Amino acid sequence: MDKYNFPILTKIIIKNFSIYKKTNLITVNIKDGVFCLAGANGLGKSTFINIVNYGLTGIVRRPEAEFSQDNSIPKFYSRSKSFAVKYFDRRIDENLRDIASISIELTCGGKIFYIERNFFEPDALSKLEIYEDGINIIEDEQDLTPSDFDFIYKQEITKSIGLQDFDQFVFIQIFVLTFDESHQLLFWDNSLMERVLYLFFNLDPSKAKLADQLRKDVSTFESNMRNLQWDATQKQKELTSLINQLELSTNNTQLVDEEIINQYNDLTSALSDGLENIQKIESDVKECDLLLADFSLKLSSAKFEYDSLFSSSFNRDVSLEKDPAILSLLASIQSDVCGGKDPAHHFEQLKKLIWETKCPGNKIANDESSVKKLQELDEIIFRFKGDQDKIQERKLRLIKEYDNLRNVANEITSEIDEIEKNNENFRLNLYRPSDKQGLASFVNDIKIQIGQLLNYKKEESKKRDEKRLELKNLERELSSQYLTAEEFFMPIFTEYARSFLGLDINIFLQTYAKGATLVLEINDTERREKHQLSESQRYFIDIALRMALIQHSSLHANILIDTPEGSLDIAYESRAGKMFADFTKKGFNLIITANINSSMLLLQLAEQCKAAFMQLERMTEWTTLSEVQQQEQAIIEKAFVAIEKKLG
Amino acid sequence: MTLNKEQHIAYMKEVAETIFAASVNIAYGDQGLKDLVEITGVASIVYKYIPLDIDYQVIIYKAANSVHSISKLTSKTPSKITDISSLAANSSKRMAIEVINSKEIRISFEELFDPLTISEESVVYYFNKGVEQVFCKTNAVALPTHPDSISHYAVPTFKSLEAALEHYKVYRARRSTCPILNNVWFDKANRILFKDGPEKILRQSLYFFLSDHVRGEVKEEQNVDDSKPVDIKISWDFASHIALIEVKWMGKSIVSLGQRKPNQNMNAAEAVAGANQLADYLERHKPYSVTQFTKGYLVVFDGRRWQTSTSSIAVNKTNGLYYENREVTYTPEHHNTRADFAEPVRFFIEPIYTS
Amino acid sequence: MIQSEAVFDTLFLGSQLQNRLSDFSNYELQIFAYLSCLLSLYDGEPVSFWGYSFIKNDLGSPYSREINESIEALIAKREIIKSDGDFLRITDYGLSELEVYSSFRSNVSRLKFLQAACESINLISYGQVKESISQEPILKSAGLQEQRRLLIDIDSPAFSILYDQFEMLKVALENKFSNLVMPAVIWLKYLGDKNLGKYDS
Repeated sequence: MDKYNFPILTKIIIKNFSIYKKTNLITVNIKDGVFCLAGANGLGKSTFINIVNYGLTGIVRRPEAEFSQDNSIPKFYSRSKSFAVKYFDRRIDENLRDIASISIELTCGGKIFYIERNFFEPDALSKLEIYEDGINIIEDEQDLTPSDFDFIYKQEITKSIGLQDFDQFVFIQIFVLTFDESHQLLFWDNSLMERVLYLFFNLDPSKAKLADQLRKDVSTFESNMRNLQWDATQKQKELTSLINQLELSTNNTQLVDEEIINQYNDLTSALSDGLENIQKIESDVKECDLLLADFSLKLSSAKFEYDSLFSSSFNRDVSLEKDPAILSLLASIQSDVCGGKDPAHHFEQLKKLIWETKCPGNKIANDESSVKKLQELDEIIFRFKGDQDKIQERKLRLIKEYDNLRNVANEITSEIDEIEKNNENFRLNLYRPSDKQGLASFVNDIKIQIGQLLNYKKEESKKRDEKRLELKNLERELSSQYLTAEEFFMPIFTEYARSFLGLDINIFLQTYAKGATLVLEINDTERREKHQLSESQRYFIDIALRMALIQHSSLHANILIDTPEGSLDIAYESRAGKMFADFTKKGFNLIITANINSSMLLLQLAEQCKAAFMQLERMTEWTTLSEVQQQEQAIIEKAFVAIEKKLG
Repeated sequence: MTLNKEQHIAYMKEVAETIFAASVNIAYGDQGLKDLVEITGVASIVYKYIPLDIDYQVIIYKAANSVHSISKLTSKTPSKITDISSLAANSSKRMAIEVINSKEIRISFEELFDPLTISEESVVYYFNKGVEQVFCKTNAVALPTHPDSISHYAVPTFKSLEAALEHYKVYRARRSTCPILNNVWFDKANRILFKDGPEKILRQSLYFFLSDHVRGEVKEEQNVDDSKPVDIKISWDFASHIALIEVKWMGKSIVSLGQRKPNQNMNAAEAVAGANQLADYLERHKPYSVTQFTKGYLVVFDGRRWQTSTSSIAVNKTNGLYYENREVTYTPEHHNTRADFAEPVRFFIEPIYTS
Repeated sequence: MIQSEAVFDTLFLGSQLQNRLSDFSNYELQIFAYLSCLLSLYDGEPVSFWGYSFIKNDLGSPYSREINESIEALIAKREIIKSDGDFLRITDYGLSELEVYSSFRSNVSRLKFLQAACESINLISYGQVKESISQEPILKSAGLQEQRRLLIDIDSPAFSILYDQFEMLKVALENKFSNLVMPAVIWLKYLGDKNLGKYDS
């Protein structure tokens, strides 16, 4: 799969957003590296993330809604559209509705996009410019309306990224490139993972379902074929017995050539013989099957005897204290003694064992006799195998003969049909009209039915072969994609998860037959249910998953992280800071909102990135503090200063 | 990256055509292949005991009929040998060996014969002054040259990593003779400057060498950040004994000649930092049980040249070999203070210098 | 209970390996046992033919409990001794026992796979054989998860890839070779070359 070119944001302008009370124009230039919006709780940090995503996609995700309810990307997209207006309604003053907007400048696939979207018109862009090699490629278009702009934007950005549909971009932007406060965790949600696997690895869940369906179809066709065959055979038997019952009418035979009558008779008796042979073969095959089952049993018990003898004679040479048989006896004795039982009944056996296997004279004699016995058993097994192979060959030969006879019988039947067709009155003349009239037409009906059954069977067989081929190709395709994902993606993800958590974990894809999904194992015990991990741990596995997906599928991207308030264990904060810094250095820009109290994370980030690679934006520039927050201002200020100091 | 079925089949066919054993099998049938296996087996054993070099001439063959028995091909009586180690005492550099069976060979010293006289029917292997050939009827099929050994049948295997690294240092790194390693240069013709990001190639070169030569399990490691500085991991006997190797390099890397600054300019500080990272990692990941033993190895590829810049296209001998013997000073000296830290190894790679 | 096939394989492979390498390790023996098993699959034998199974251990190499038990039992019987640290050698006693077992018919039927596996070292190097095995689809796919999993699990997609490779190999070789060691060597070299990146465009 080719790499995706995710958009890289370079500038964000927010106009007239009421919640950001201090200013009605916020301009942020985003450099490569980390952009961190820091502030106390409740100042609107999560809102910022939603605003950016709204700018890019035209939607705001409904926080309570789970993706599995929609369970399809287009459905999710359309159902989320109406929510944006509701969301912004509460956050923007009535009088500013028309002039509140979000502008974004971004680069994607070599082009530079400028877009501006009003908060209350999600399907329109008040401004769109797309620059390619310094030229605005839509400048020449006349009379474009805002919804035209939106339409063009959707097409162009989708193309530049490398996706097929805009709603796919929306999905990726909202669920993979963003990690937000409502923690819809990718890893633990099958419906999300399925889509992710498809978008990132071409692992198509519909293909896996198709493969299942094909398998069912093939087996249906095969059972149909068997039924049709059986029916045809039955009908054939009925037919021949009827024909044999009928006497040839001599009255009107001068209308038909005697030669043809003879031919007809020969054919019908050949058919009857043929059917008898077929029946005989069927019972021979059954007999073979019984013999094979019998041999199989004989072989396994001979093999068992061989293995036991081998094992026991093998251990003879072992010294007393290492012999497994003796050790196991001793263990039984020990358990008896400790359980207060009398172990004496074991002593006889111990004595026997030692006498037989450890006493010099006996040992040698035993060795020689064991080898001889083993050789005998080996010969017996070999003979059984040979006989079994012969029976198997016989069975195959019989089946082949059976098929031949079947074909011959079919041919004879069609020849009989030919004769009857060519000699119109033949049938009527052949059978005595009177009481056999009904019978004659009955006979004819049967013949027609047989012909039809055999035709159906041929058709089913063809269909089955087609499906089989389709299935084989599909399975091969799925296998190789599955393995590609494993080969390149899994190691990255596992390493990230391990680095974050510091735990010895394994992650693997379940086989495609059951539907591809990821399973997590910690120190060899499966933890599929998310409640077995702490919240911070779950959070980090999800971040690790996103990082690995992004790293696997693209060279540059923006990842948006809304640090959840207060649910990060301090122990993880510092590590998280370092992980984010390392990730950024690989070429992925991070837009992160953080609580100023998450100081360990921010301090570590600042330390690793320095001013060259990290911008710190104080939310206090954007909005006023509440009374409570003002009281804490000194502490907040101190925290900011510490971070800025780290930035250097 | 993914190939389709036809391409895979085409590649397999290509292998089948180029591999010399296939030619022998087709020319002489299954018996010929068996003979080849025996012959090459004998070659491996013989080369354990003789100091094979470029002056040697060794013929090893299996007679397809009695006319080709060695006593009929040479004038002197051949020696019958059942213990091949006795060859160690022999100083002859020319020998013809007939393989009788798995326990017996017959050798004629100093007197060779032309392989073509018997190769129509018998399978013949001929090491002729550095060139290895196997005959298919009247065609001599040359075996490809091995990057660090004079013969495919004298390739050393190592139980210890130290010995393997020593061999790599001399036979693969020093003159950049490893075919993988040789791709690391911006300028193959003079080997002054590295390509951008040479780590991957250096790692690969070392990995494939170790995998080929070390009698243990060699794996390339995936790491996503500095917290795990391990590039190659070797385990002997299912993890009771493990070596962790970190690869670093020194020198300059560029993407275009004469660029303002080199992409990377690594020096001894990089190596020292690597040593510290490795020691730190070892400290943090001490093995659980006392029966497990892990040792860290720092390996540094040294491509430094004196007084060269991003536009250097030639270097003289003095400047090229300036760093030949300049070992890195490590502070602290982990290899002296930690039992699980081996002495760092430096692979100096010579440039191609003028005069 | 000691498994007779594993004991035979251990003695035979051990003796062959020490002829070429002067000794062998548990890890090396397991690899060649695994290769032999794969060759039996190539030759059309069912999965059940081999008699014992393999898993992929923590480190990424094939491992059979039965082979391991055989090694330990043979050490206890002094048919194998430890030499040079963790390396092993078959003793003369072990070799004489091997000769006895070699005459058994059930062992004869597996000899060709064991032999072909060992003979491959003569035609491409020991290191190449070892490295190529780790590129075999089943081991490689199980290996990436670093988790214990039964190899030769016929439902896994890797298994079908393995069979695909065998089918392609048969097409490519066009029945030119009536022995097993040439397909083995060609397959191993192909796997190795693929990993070296020789087939990347």
